[in-house]
Amino acid sequence: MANFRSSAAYRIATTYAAILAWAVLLLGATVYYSADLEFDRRSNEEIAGEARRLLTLEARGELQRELRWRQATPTANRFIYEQLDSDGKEIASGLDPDAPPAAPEQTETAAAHRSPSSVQAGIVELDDGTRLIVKRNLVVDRMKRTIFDLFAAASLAVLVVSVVAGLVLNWYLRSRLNPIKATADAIATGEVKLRVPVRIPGDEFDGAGNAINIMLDRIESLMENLRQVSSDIAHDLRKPLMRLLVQTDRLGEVEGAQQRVYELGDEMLMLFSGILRIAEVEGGGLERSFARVDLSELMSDVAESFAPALADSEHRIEWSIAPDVWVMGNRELLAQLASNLLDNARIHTPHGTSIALGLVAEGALAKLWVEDDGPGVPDEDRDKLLQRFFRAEASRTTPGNGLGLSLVAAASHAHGGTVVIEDAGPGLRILVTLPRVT
Amino acid sequence: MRVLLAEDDDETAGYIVRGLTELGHAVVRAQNGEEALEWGTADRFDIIVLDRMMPKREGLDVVRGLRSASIGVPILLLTAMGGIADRVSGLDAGADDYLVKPFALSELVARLNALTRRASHSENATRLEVDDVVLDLVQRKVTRCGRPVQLQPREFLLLELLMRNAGRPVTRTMFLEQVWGFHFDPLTNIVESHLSRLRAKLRDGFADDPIETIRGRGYRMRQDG
Repeated sequence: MANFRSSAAYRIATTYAAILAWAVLLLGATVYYSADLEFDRRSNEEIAGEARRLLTLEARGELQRELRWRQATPTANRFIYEQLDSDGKEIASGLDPDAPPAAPEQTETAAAHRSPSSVQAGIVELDDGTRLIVKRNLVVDRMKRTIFDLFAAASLAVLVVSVVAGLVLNWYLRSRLNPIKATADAIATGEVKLRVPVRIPGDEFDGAGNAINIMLDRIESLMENLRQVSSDIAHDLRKPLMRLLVQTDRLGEVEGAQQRVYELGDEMLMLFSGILRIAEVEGGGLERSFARVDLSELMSDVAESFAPALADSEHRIEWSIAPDVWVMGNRELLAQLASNLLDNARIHTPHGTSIALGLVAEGALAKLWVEDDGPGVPDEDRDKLLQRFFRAEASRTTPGNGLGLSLVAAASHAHGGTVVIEDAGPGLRILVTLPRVT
Repeated sequence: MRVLLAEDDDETAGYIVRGLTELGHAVVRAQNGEEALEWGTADRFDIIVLDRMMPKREGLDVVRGLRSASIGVPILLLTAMGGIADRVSGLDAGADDYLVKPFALSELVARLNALTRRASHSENATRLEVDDVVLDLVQRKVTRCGRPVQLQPREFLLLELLMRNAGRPVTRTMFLEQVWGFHFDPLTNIVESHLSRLRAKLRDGFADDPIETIRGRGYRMRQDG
């Protein structure tokens, strides 16, 4: 029972039942009292009408016969009659010698009064000095009693129905909430892939379940991100660390070993920064630093900054940038995105390759691409370019750590965009699509 | 130069103290945030170097404490946290520069020099002059020996940074941060290629190059006398 009382369903049902029962009672009381008033008024009218009719009958001398007839046919008898002599002594009660005499005080105040027992009466003064008292019978009281009983029964019925409804509601709420609880319990024990079952289209419970699922997806991707970073550090930093140890061993023996140690240290630092930057971008929360960025201006800036260096490595660069393309984002991250795309194009193409950077606005999208007419990437490798540490066979000997395009992907996703790698025939085109603001 | 260094790691602190002392600077070392705040508010320094993660009181807290005590000395934050959000929060707290660990001593020294210079120089000078090179900040024009030198806007900014730090090295990351606003290091050496163009323009028709490369450290504007 304690369990039952702590149940929200039980509390909802009992509260609801109490409110309903009160409402029924209130309605009952209102109907009862207004019916009471109405009955009183109507019976007063009827008594007055009856008194007038009796006087008319008396004037015609038919009164006694009529009264006797009425007495003989109870169905027609809606009134009770009493006859008093001029001293107030009772001659006949209910025109029935066996009926008990009416209480004297009642007759004193008889004219259309309301007594606690709701008996109403009218007095007809007859010519012979006697008085005939006309009383309304107790049908009214019976009706009022019925109304009262009806509403009391209704209140009780409401209570019973409410308790049943409470049980049903309790069962229903439990049946809806239990899967959510079961899922949470299972996740707590390590089954992190589980999700709350949700119907489509759903109600409030499905809405809540859906929100929980979205939250779980997010947490899972963060966990995956963390796991990925740990494994990256564990595996991909071993190689350069090994090289570093080898070079340290040769210090003092081989010319240039010290320089190589520094270089390897730098390389590892770059790798670390790369991994951590990607982890930061994928981890989310950068939205707080987002502001309106003039992508056109930023891209021109990056292109101009890279132009001399690209010319030095004998690449040709051209850019066609539509003006006034704005996005919501982190300026530095967008600059790094473009910078990585140009780095990538420069590093993986031979001298004399043309590199093009483009930006256009297309509807609600900003399309940014870097394209080259170099040797391109085999079909089977193209999709893997965005993976961390992936390096196509042909680029094993070129500088770079295999993280540049992973950051491009992470940064694009952080800005609500996508990356597509296409064959530019010849060469490679990397297209970044970002949502645009106006 | 009088330096307050707050760093809890003995090895790192020793490395920095040795390096700065060799260059002739006086270094006071605090072991934790509370000591740093006490020293910083009680004594006068030319620059304060704070580790971001310290026992007792963390670096950001010390920065806020110093700034709310109206200590306007330039502050450089050292940190192992190189994230975008970390840097923003560091600068928001009132730090003037932010250096991610690990770093070369030469990088730290170059930044300390730049920070103290920035503090002593009037920022609103209209003209910089180093030997025969004159840079007009208002008209954005450069002359050498009175002969105009045509520079691209970016080359102008590079030269300005070098001239403000004349006689001392400016590192690659300082160029990237202050001229480009990039807090990352592109694989493509955009600094070097811009500098080589700047140098070619300044050298054109002259016997010497007013800018020199310091291997492993960066670039320096020569200052005679």
